[in-house]
Amino acid sequence: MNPVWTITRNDFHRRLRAPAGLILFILIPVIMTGLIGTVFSPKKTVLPRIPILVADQDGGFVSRFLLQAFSAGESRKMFVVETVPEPEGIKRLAADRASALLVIPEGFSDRLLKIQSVRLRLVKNPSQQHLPIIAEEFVNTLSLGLSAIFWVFQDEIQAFRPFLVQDFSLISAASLTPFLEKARVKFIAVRSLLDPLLIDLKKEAVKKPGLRYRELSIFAWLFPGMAVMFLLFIMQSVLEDLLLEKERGTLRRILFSAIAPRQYILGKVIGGFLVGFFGFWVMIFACAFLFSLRFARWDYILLLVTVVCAFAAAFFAMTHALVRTRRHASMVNTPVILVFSVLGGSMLPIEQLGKGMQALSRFTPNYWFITGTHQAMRGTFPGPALLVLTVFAAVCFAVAFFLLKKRL
Amino acid sequence: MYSEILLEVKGISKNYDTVAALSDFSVTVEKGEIVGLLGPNGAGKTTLISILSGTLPGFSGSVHFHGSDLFRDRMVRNRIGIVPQEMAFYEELTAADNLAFFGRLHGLEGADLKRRIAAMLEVVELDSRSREKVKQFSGGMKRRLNLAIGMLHQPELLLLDEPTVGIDVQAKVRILDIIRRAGSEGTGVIFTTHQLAEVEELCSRIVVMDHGKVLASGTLPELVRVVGEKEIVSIEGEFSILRMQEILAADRFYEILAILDDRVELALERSDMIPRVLEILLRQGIHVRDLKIKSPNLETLFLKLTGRSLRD
Repeated sequence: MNPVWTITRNDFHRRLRAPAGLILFILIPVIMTGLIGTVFSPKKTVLPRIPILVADQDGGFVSRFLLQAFSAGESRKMFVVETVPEPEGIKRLAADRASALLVIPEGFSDRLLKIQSVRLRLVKNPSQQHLPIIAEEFVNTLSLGLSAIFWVFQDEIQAFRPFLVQDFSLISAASLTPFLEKARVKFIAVRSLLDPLLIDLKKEAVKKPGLRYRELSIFAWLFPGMAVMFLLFIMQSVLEDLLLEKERGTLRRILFSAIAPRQYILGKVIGGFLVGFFGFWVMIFACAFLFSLRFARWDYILLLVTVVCAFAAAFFAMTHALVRTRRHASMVNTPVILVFSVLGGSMLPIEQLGKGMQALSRFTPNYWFITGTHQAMRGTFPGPALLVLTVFAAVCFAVAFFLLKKRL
Repeated sequence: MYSEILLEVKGISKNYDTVAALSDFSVTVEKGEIVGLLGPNGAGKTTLISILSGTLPGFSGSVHFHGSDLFRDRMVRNRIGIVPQEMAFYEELTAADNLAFFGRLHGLEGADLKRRIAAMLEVVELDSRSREKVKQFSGGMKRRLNLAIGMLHQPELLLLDEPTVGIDVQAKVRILDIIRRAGSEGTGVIFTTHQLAEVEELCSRIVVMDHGKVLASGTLPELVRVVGEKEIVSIEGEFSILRMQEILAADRFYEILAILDDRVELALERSDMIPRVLEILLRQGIHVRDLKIKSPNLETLFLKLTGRSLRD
């Protein structure tokens, strides 16, 4: 039997005989993908209803309309509105029991009916980030709509105003007729302007002709980053053997056979590669089955997994050639894996990093594997990712081979 | 008795910085010969084995096996077996798996490999435990497996680096028995130890070494003759080394082998000289606690050659 294959086979065999570490490193990314994906999955997202307090110091016709706007139709699903006195509202905001307090000042309805400017006050809860902003946007939209209505129908409102603030039993149909006719004409005019709308918004996603486009689920977004991060951990522990064999004395025994150091190095790197390759496919199949991951091009994935495993094996052969003890190795390798994972997009989306950091992410295998996998999932050939990972792997292997051969 | 030279080590020198670990060290091993390298810790035994096993570069001198340069012709190594001091195998594998792996590295395959594994497991009495993971083995069983791996490919020469260290007496006896049998079957053996009894019991030739140098070499009777046909007296008492040196320097009808912390070893021509020695010591106020009369052995030789005990 070829000595290289003997070394490789033994390494693989040893992992299968003591599989606890490998199983753990395969399970963790699958579990993490599942947990994070489930928590942030859009299908399961039910936003909490936003608690809004309203201090209605006006109590008039328009303020009542405003209050109803919060609890009508779709707004009802978004907001929980409660009317409170302003000091009570402030207290509740301070106690983080509401997202915002809308203060409708005294005379609000009256001034609007007189087509005079008014000011609404929205007090936001500073300890909340997004919910007060949603409330603010909603109040802004309402204000804009109300303003538009009052400007368009200002003549009619002026005519109706005495009736709106008085008893409806005093209003006669004859007195209203001229204003109703004017309002009808304006409604028709507005409708003719808005129906049909000149601008229509159609929502759709980008499609490339001739390619099987797939929209990626949150699991598909998460999986490659998690998988590559734990592949690095797997490879780190497998290639640690280069130092462990020296400490155990097995290296001396191995090299005191007809095997040449270059064959030993090659056997160890290929052994590491095979263990990582095997572990990676278990991860892929587990995630594909559990989270319904779909890969448009399995052949592209196969290429990507091959090059990323080759890179990881060569990289950790190199780092273990640079240090003398296993303790030093873990002091170097663990931070390197974490830096790769943070910069490369395994831990958080690259878009959230600063521009400088985004530039650095190009030097991590995580970045190239993640982008390459997303491309392959959509059916696009991940050429740049394959090229960069292959170059990384070749350089690391050359350095590792040179250093190890010198040290063995 | 032995005719064919298997291994010839010539003028090996190795320094660690300014400290000489081996200096101009030479030894030969013939077919079926068990050569014991005897020396205290730091004598250079493991350095020599490391050099022979090719894992310690930066030395001068030459090593030939059957006339071939051991470090140039890798294939020669398949004819040599090494048993390092460490338990050099994989604890997560079974004894049979370990033997299979190292057997393949030495070119054994298929039925031949299986046959050799079965035979070796029987020799080291691990055949009933061959499918158990090695991490479940006792220290003695691990030592036997370590030896079995080195002997699996039926090497012509065995390099054993303290193969009995850290195991109980029973396990030690078994291992020594296996080595003796290998020697009787024609395998040349280099055996390092600091256990006098092992060397006396097992080795056909003994090389006494200290500080990287060969102090004496020969069979046990040859080495004992170096001390001479004398009575060895070991006196234990309470004294300082300097004081004892002063006292004993005055009169020289004895040979001082060693003066240690609380013990002095002297070689006397005849046993009737012992009262004279005691008289000198008592006259000088030395409190003698114990006195033993021994025949010359390796320990007295070592004391004579180095001035210190092997246990030091």
